[in-house]
Amino acid sequence: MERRFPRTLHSLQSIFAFVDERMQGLSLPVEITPTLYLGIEEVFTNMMKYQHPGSEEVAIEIDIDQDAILIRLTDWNVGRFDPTAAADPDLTLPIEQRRPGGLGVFLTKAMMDGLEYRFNDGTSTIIMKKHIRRNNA
Amino acid sequence: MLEVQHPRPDTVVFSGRFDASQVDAVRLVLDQCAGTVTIDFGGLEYISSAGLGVLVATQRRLKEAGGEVILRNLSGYVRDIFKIARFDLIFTIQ
Repeated sequence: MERRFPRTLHSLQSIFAFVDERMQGLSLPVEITPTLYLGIEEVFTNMMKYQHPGSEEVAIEIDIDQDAILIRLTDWNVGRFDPTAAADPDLTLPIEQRRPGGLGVFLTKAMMDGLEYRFNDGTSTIIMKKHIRRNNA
Repeated sequence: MLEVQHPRPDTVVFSGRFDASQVDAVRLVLDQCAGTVTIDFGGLEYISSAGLGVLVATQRRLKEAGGEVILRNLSGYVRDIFKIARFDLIFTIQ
């Protein structure tokens, strides 16, 4: 199921509501939903910040099967920008030396089971996968 | 949505979802804090890197002045995120 959202931070509440709607009625561990929020927010805000000029809306698709949740975010009219290629931040540095940037993608990679970037003819797509283990399994 | 309560000068309570759209509102509250402040995460269901960035900036400011941020009542997803981000190295977590 796909839905489109204006590329603004104000869309986040609507995006989370879309995730809640897709999760409704499924017997999944409670940590799954905030993990999906995280992946989508980090990719969506990356598209807002770094993919220019970009389309007015970003498409978000959430497909659920027996074993996994597949999320696809698509942005049009953009240059190539692959967030999955960013270097991981050094998380052992003391606070004085920590620099902003890179943490969102790092957390997304850590929390998701797959993160893939595709670029074709001005269309940028990020695909994320989260394996699921059902509570009643 | 995120609800932020500031019941005492040294205590802030978060509940709900701390996403990038809440950063300015949270910054307004935390910028009022001085010395050592305890943030209670008992009702916090979600935080993103944008929210973590606000906490790091607050910790840096308070530490420079001799205080710090203490985090309390992390659970579930939020605890996992702090562990992965190695925030145990830069915050006191109770």
